[in-house]
Amino acid sequence: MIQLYHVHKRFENGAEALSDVTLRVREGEFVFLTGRSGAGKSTLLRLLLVMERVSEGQVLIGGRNIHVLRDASVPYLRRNIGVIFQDFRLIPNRTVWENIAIGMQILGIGRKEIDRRVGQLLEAIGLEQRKTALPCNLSGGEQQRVAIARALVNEPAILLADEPTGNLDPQLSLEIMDLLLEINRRGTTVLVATHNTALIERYGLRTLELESGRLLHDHARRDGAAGTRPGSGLGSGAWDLAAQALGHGGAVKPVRAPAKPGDQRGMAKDEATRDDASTDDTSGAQAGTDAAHSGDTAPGAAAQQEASS
Amino acid sequence: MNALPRISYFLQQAFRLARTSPWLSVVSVLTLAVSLSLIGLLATVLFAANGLIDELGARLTISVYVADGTPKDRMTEIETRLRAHPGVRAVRALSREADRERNRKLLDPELLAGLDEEAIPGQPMLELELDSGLASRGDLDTLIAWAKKTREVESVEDVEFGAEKLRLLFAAVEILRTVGLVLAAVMLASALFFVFSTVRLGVFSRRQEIEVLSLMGATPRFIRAPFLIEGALQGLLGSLVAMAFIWLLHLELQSLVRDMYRINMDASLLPPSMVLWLLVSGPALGLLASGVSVGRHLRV
Repeated sequence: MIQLYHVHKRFENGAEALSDVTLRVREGEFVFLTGRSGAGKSTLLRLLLVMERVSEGQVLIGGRNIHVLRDASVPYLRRNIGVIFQDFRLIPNRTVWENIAIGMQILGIGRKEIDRRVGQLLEAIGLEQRKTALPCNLSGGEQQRVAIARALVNEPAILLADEPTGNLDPQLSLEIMDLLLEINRRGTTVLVATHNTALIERYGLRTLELESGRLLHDHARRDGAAGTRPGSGLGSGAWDLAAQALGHGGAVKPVRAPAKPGDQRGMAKDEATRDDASTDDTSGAQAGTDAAHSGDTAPGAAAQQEASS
Repeated sequence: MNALPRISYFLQQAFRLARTSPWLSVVSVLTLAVSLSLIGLLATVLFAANGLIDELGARLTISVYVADGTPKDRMTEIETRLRAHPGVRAVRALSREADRERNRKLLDPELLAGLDEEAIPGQPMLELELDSGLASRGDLDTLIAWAKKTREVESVEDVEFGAEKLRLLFAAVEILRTVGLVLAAVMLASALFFVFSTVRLGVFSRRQEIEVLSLMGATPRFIRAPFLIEGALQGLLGSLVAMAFIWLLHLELQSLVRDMYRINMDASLLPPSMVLWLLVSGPALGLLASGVSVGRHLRV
């Protein structure tokens, strides 16, 4: 799902934030990205979101080289990636409902459909009574839950979280982590950047450790660790609702069949859509989804093998 | 999925933006209204003044008075010379008696009652009709210079025509045009600056929101649209206020003319062309200012 090959990122002042990083995150995996402040975690996430461009090397998402992506195509890629921040980044003058609905409004989805899906997500995160509240009237944990709902509203294939528990107390941190694991169990690839070693220890999931921009260690997932394996079962009733809201019909999101070799249908569609981007944002989004879902042949197959082992 | 939810979202956001800095929005709308009214009224007045000048120019004649007792062949010679001048359409020769008869008709009969025939002014003259339409003040100056030269011709006593009045009108129109245009340009620049600043403030106050939207996959067009709509809405509001202002001015002038001259003013200050100008120029100017502001301050 995510592949980096010999990636370097140098800034204009000459500082090298990432140096020869090569890694692969498979579809449906839950991976921690750790390291001290300045190790390059956030830079790596920014590269995946195309907020920065690589200086050298290649970054592939869903088999697609985003290094060569045109600026006009970047929004369509981002529609397939959910993102969560340490400081939540909720829009202060918009209500909880509006904050979650933004992603669907960007796609031009009608009010009725938005109402239905946002309503179900609000129920899933236990904030249906606070839908008209402004972010400033919510606790930190509530704000982060809203941010997660916002990130998930368009069913992204990948969820990136930059220090999602950094502003939360330990109890709330666990709550948010459980939420992220539940999302991962439904098939979403989750990459969490954190320097909270206690969390990493507790969950025992695959951990990529960065130091001074280099990938120092790739710690494998501990046997019996939570998450990651598709088909590991569903959570509470609230999450069934969330699954429905996300269009998963309450069932475990199946591991997608690997695309046929050489099948670039999704990407070709996206290329076609880009020229038409000025007239239909939605088709571009769909194309982005196709690209992310179809292109990652090898990792998809590996994930399936892992799931069945 | 269609355009309707998006349009509704853009409008909602544009109104929300206007609430970010309400006073600046009000100032933008008012300065736009004043500058649009000023330009519209100026255009109306200048248009009317040009019409008046054209009309006067078309009616303009030059009277060349010749000394009493000038021989006929000398008279013909002068006539031929005047006729040869470019811009002279026709020359009509009048004898002293014919001129006196014309003056008699022009003067009040009461004034002429009991007056000796010789006391009524009359002099041999040549009346020149000019080509219609004096294009500019330069033409008029050339004409005046030529008239002065003609006065020096032998046997010519005087040359008269309404050039001075026309010259004054030209000067008045030119002053009005210059002052009006400078004033309108200053007002327009201020209005555009206020719209520009309102949108800039909106962009700055929403930097975080813009970043979030961008990260969620919003296209630059989606992010910019509410700001552009805000500018266009300010322009439209400015147009509506300008229309209301000109309409009130029209009503006020109408009642003034009725009270002073006991006549109904038939010319409207708000003809369809003015309404069209206001409805098109306001939103267009608002859009232009916000477009420049968004282009300069919104990087997505």
